Amino acid sequence: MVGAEKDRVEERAPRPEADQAVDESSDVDGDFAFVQKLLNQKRRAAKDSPALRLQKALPFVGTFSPNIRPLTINDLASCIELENAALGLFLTVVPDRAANLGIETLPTARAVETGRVDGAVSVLLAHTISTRCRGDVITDADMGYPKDWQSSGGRATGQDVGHQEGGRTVGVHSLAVLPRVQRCGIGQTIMKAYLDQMKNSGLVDRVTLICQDHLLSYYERTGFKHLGESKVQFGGGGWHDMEFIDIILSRTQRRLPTQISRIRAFYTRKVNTPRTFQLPFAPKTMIPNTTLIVNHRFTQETCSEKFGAIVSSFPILTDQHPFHRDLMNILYDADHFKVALGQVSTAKHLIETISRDYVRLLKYSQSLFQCKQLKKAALGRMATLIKRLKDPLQYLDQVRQHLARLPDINPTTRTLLVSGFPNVGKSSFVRSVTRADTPVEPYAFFVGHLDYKYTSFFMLITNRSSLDHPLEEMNTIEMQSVTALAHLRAAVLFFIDISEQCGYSLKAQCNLFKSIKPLFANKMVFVVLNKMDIKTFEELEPEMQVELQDLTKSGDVELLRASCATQDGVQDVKNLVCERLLAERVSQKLKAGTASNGALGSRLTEVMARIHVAQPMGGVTRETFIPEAVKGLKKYDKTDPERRMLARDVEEANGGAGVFNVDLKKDYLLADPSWKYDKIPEIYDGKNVYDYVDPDIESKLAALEEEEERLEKEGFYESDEDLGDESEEEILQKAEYIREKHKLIRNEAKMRKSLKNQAIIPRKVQKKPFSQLEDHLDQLGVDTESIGLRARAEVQPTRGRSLARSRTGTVDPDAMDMDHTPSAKERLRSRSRVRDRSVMASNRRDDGVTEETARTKAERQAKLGQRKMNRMARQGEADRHIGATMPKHLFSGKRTIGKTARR
Amino acid sequence: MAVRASFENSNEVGVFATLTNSFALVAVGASENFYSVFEAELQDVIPICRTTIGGTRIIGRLTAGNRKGLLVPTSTTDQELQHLRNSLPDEIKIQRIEERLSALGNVIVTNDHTALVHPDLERETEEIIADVLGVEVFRQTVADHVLVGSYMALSNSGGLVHPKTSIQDQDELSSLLQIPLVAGSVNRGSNVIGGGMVVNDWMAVTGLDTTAPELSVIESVFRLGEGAAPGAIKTDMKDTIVESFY
Repeated sequence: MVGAEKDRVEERAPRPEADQAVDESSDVDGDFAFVQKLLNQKRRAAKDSPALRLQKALPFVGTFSPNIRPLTINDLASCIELENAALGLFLTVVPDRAANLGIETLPTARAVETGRVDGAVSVLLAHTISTRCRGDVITDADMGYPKDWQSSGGRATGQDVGHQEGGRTVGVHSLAVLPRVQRCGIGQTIMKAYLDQMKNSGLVDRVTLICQDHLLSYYERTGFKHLGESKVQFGGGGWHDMEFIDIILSRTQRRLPTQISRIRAFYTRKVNTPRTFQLPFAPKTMIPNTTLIVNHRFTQETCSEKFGAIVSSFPILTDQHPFHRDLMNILYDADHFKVALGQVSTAKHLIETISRDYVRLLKYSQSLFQCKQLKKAALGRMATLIKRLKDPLQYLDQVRQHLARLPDINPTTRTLLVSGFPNVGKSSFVRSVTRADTPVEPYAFFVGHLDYKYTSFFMLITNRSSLDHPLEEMNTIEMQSVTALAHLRAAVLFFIDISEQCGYSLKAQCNLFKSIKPLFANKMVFVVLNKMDIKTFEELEPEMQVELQDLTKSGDVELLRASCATQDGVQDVKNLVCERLLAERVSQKLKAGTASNGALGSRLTEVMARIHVAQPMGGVTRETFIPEAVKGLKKYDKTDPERRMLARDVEEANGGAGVFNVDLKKDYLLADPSWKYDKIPEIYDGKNVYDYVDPDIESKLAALEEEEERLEKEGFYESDEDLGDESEEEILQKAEYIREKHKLIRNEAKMRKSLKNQAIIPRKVQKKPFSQLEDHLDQLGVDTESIGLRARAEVQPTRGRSLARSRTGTVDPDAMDMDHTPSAKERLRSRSRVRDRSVMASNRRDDGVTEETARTKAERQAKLGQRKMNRMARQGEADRHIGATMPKHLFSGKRTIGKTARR
Repeated sequence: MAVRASFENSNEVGVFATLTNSFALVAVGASENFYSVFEAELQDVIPICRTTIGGTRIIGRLTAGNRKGLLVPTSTTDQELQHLRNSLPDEIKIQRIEERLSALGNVIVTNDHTALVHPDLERETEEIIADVLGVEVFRQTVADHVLVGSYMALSNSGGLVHPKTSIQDQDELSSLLQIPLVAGSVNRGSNVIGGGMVVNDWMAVTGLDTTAPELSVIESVFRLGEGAAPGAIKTDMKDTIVESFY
């Protein structure tokens, strides 16, 4: 127990690097861990839990479900309010429900989305903000920002201050939580979310931060590891470096098995699978997801995998273009490079061998102790191997970083090589032909671009390097750099300062040219006599003139003159050189594309077809239609304050894209401008209006009106006047009447035919009251009196007993029927009487009971008899139904005793 | 005057615009940037109209037109047609065509004198084209592609055709159209010329990716700018073209 505790203490304290090869934390005694856990639980129970505190801080929030999302530029105001960023924790709050808390009116609140019904706002409760940096820990430079950030437009300016896009370390600068919700676990939540995001992104190797000493334990709880005092002096210093430790090993693997077979399997797995190694040095590899972090857990497989990735991600020198190959040789020393990669590769094989051997041994081990020792030995050996890799990995990392910053040089493209002694005007030449800044770069050459005839040319300027002094004075490395340049297909511009103001005599400059000339075999070479404004060629001593002329003797060298100070001849030099280089390259290409018999290759044919201008055979000239307004149009200039107002400007003035709604009707060309915004219905009276639009409607109307007028004049309409006389009018009236009648009959027949869910009743059976017949006949004009009389006679009442109740006539026959309890005499009489209609003989309720009391008793008895029946839900006495006792559907589940719903 | 532009990050300018000597159609975009590219060059010269065709923004591929007229496909709604009619001057005839090949911009390429059309176009359509646009109509292919409108761009002073058009085909087309033709590309090697640019007699708009040699070829063949002439392609620009395309 004591030993275990000590182990734990040790784990917490920062150990010296060398001792950290194997982490033993996973072997902590189970009992101890259990007791610790219990104690922690009790301690936690004694205090308010973070959840409880949160409930108190934000009582109006039912379930706390914050939204964690990356911050955008729109969140800037919120962030500033919170701190006096990369991830923010937002909470949606409905103002009405959060009454009196004031949280919704916080300056950090912003509407969730426009037009949300309840007016919910999103409140920034916490945020983290971080940048990427190149070092292992945060430095002062990482916390700064480029001084020219406003002018550089957010681009990386090549400074080592602030955010470093290529960095593989994330430095957390701030973790801020709204004071109201502090101590509620929100900081932990957002930190965990952020670490999770970083882990999954694969872009970074580690997360670091600096904090004051009272926060050390806070970050340790999140999984950070204390690395000691930081060198950062920001805000007065006193900072500590913290670093995130990623823990892969799950708790389940910490439980110790008891049977020896399982023990063996367990430790075999440990040798093969996750273990904690602490690399003495963390190589940042070229593959983004390769993460070899101090304190990162490795497997044997991951070790091999990572090392394999390192080896394969570096370029194979022999596969590179000779230029790049020589360049890498100069910069990194090819032998050293190869050896380093070889070491990594060997280590990979050795680790595989060790793992194989120890797994074999573990299979035969007898006890837990033996297993443990074997595991320890295996991991120790692996760790030692990795430790030994420190130097090569460090070297490879430097190579990686340097390679990433090398300028992109395409050795096959159009290139101008500018060389010469220092201060002869190379860079001022480059400045005047390109827009590049002063080339001060830590490389052997500077790269610029210039355009000539729509094609861009590379400019390579050898500054402070090899081509600046004679060949025989060069050391090996300089020599190699020259040979690298020799691989380029370039035009060489050798600058000579004719005024000798650069500090080198003309003689020396000529000698340098002569000595390095052999390197420029098969290249176009131009000697540029610079600073002609100070001294012209003609002012030189005759022997110097001869000397310079001699340089061109071999025939492949040309002498050019320029003055960068006055710009005289600079453009000529540029144009001439570019033209010559272009012509040279084109002739080479044409040669390469042409077969020996003069036939063009297929690719070249295609290119030649693009050079061909097909001209019409002649005759017609097609006239163009260019409006006069074009000629007078002032060229649009964005910077001109008097420029034309464009739709873009209007849009910008009215809220920008997405807010401004363009008026499509503004530019309509109509006869009357007030018609522009007329509303024209698309559909009118169920018809598409446009189907009836007729461009000729005016002319058609005019034609009709004309015809009408003509007819009127001819008296066409007048003749119709005397057509109608009285008899005709009567006929018309009758016809109208008949038509109406027809219509009614038709309607009636239709009504009859439409069944409306009724049976068809044959006409014979249909009842028709006499009155209807009478009406009908009346309508037809038939006298119905006699028929009526006959019909009434036929329905004379039958002879027999009077329908009236009272024979004596004492009761009004029209009086309403009323129930009355007949007397005993009446009852008897009613039985004996002949009935022509059914009358209930007696009230059954009263049958068989003598008096009222007896009846109520009988009723009670009857109810009693039904009680059991009702209780058993029987339909009646005879119902003996037995329902299903164990309904199948309720007992056929996987539960042994019924379904969950049943219980 | 040739300008580079992009429509909402797309280089296919010819898809989203139609340009003639008497009017320009521009797709309705999320912002006014694309419209303003045209506006900067054409404001108060010819009407520029923002429109959709059948609710889509690919108006350049759906319509075909020249100085005298505009052809729109059947998918054009009545409202769009009304909008076009209101926006364009009355001299310009607008005709909706019932044609199976409804992407008229892809099947018709025209200047103010001649039109080349897809070989499968209906006879009736051919007549309408001749009437409305006032041009001679020829059924043709460009570099064995039937979509003449996609693979070539025409103005009254010149034409750019698919980069793989053979010299014989170029000569044939040129004698048909009576204007100089050059094979070329737009948008860093795209062969869909009609989709990648729009052109009239004094200006061209190409995709933002168009390289300097491509743009210079365009300026020469369409005679845009001072002293630009197609002859320069054969002489001055020969080296540039070989250097950049071989």
